[in-house]
Amino acid sequence: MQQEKLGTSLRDNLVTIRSMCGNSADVMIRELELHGQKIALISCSAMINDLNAYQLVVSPLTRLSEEETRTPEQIFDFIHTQSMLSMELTDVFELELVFVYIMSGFLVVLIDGIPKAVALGLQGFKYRSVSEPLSDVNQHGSQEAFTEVAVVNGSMLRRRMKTPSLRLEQLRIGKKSNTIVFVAYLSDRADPRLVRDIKRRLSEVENDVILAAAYLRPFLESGKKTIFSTVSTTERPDTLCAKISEGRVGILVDGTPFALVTPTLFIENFQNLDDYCTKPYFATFIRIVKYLAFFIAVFLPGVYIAFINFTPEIIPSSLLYNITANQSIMPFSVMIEAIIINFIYEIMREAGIRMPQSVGHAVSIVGSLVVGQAAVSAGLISAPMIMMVALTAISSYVIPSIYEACSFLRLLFILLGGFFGLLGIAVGSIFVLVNITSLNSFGIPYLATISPFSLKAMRDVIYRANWTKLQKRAAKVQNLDGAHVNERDADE
Amino acid sequence: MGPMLTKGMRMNRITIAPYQLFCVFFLGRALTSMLYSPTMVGAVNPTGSIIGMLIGACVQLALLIPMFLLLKNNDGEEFHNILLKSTGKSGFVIAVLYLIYYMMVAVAVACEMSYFMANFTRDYDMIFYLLVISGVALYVAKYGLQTIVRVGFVLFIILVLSIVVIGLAGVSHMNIYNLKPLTDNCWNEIFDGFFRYSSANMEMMLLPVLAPFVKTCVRGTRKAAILAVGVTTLFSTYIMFFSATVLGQYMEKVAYPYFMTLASINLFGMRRMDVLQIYLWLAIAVVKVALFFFVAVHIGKSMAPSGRRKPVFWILAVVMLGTALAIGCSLHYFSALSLIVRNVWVLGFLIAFIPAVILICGAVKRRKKDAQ
Repeated sequence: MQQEKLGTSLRDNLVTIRSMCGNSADVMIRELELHGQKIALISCSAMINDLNAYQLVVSPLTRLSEEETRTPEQIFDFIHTQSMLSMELTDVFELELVFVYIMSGFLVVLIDGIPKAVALGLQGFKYRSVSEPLSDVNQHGSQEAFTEVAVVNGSMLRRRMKTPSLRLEQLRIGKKSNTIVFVAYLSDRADPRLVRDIKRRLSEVENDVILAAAYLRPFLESGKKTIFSTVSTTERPDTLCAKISEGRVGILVDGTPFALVTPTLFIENFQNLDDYCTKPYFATFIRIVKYLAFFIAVFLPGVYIAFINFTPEIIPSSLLYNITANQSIMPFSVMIEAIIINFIYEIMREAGIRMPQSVGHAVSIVGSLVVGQAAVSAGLISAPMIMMVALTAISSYVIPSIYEACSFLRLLFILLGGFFGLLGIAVGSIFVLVNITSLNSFGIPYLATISPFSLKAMRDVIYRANWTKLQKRAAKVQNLDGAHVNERDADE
Repeated sequence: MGPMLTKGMRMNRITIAPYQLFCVFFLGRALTSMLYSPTMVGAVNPTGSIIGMLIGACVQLALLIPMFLLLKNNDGEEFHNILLKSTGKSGFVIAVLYLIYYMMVAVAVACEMSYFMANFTRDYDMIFYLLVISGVALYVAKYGLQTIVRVGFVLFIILVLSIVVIGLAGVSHMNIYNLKPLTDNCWNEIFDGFFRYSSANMEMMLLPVLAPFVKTCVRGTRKAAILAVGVTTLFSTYIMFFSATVLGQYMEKVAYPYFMTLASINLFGMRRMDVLQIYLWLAIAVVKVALFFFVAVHIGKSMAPSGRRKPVFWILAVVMLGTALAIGCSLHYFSALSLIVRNVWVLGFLIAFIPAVILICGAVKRRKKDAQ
């Protein structure tokens, strides 16, 4: 798009605008004449609220007397200073920006003789209303989830944090899509260098289109190769508020009902809002369950295969007899069985997600009852293996934020356990541990507060302390002013 | 929600906390204790060994005094700089000596663990284990010191938890009457325990090189070292006591008594928990090898001319793998290497004698300067 300035001639400006948009059907240009002064109203079809546009702009302008419209400057001043047309009012000098505004739901007013335009926020496009969260479900917290409109998402944050220190800085990313992106943070909690670094990285994005928040994720992640993500997502405004109140930065992308949050720690995958709404003893118990679920989801099939293939002496003898009896009539090795059933499970899961909801239920019934039962009856897969995979599948849904990593690692450990036994599992674990401990998210170790260890933060890792103790940490977060994130080391 | 971002969590690229240093020291020493083999060093009286260990800990701390003084006088300075500054060009030779020693320890630890694994799992040959341990250790070392100590801390937690669980499970198997009383020859037994314990203190050799990496440099390093000596002595005493009270006289006849102790304990209906434990030991061995290798590479890089430092890692990696393979092919070399690495005089020479000489050289130089 050309970086062309608006001229004084309305006719020339309109000709240029028409030629730039190629007479696109949705670009609406309405020319008016007010006592000899020519003006043009430009908008995008279905992007503005027509009634508001008429009542707030067209009607007041047409009611202006001849004395009030002697010069173009008078009309411009009226719009600027004497009217209550819109809260969002911006002067636009460049043609490129005219397009950005009209495609963001603004009404742009051009006046003959004035080399600039006025953009009035009269957004009236249709969007999905605020609804319940689909993935970040909880029992006790708010039932509101983000929607696709970044401005609405920003307002949900504002409603929960009525403080002037909540900053929503707007960026436009994507050469063609000009997607609105809000960088949300608390100015008195977030490290200024962290915010600066995030904005710098976002400004370096050169994608043509940004259609989802995930497009920005790689630009914010640690540069190291890893299967874990150092940028988390949430679709809950209350969760995002909690995160940014701890000095983190949220990124709201227009068109995505999810916010990105960074820096992210590994232990955050095991925390959710419900933990803070229940009694500490129960929250602690649930945390332990989640950590166990992680280990089951990643290691159980691999370790089971390693035990069966390499070190059966470790299994209690009565259980070993049953497993051996089952296994002796199976056509495949335990590892092959595990791989087959794992792939069948992943196929069914993928089908369940992509299919219409009504059909999805049928797929899950067919998958769990028919395929599973039939596979055991037909002697293709042993019953213990079905149980192993079912248990790991359920466990992996306890920690949905790292589902992808869990399912990849599970397969990896099945192979390692199958080929090398416990040695393979041990070596694989070391590789994963090294990878996870070497990660830094904007200078914050990903495995903190476990390693490096932080005793104070331990009150909210496995054990969840009472709010009377947790509230004290807010004061400490304030101390983050002039913080220590080293922009140079951000990728380390 | 989520842990707060405290100042302590902000990572400086080159510093580690004293507790992290303690953890890796502890892990290294714990591995040596767990892999202790009376059949290799000659049958000993556990009671005498325990007393010898306690005396050994005091002597170890005393031997560290010159090292602490050296670090205090050169707070935050790289070891090779201290050597060059104090002893001139001969400092280069001394640095090479240390480098060789670190490499030898790395190879020896890999060999010891491989030998143990090959004997007890019997799934693969010693050379296979050697390659695996060395390869994984090189991978860990490539990530740098921070990653090594972070992994070390996680393993430390797992080890402590497992020791507690095993200890609780083993209480019913312990019999205090299994401890042998000291004989007429008790002084020999105590001395034997003392020398054996003192000679397995390779971790302290890392102090001069790692000190500049530690937060609150000298104070942090000193704290970590003293704590490591104290806690590892308690740990080694516990291991010896536990094995002796569970196994009794059988302890003197088996190759790896602590491992046999684990094998004899039936934990929550699960048999052979020792099989799980040895893979934890394998991970600890990897960290130990990685740490010694990292330190060797650090010294090597410090000595290499600027611009030629990058290949040092790979050159030393090839040397380590080559040496490990050569030793893996012949157990004679393995015994010779263990003898050198665990020689109490070599340790004393490198831990106490050289730092003392450097201190004296420095003092003489200062006096000469003052006189001028």
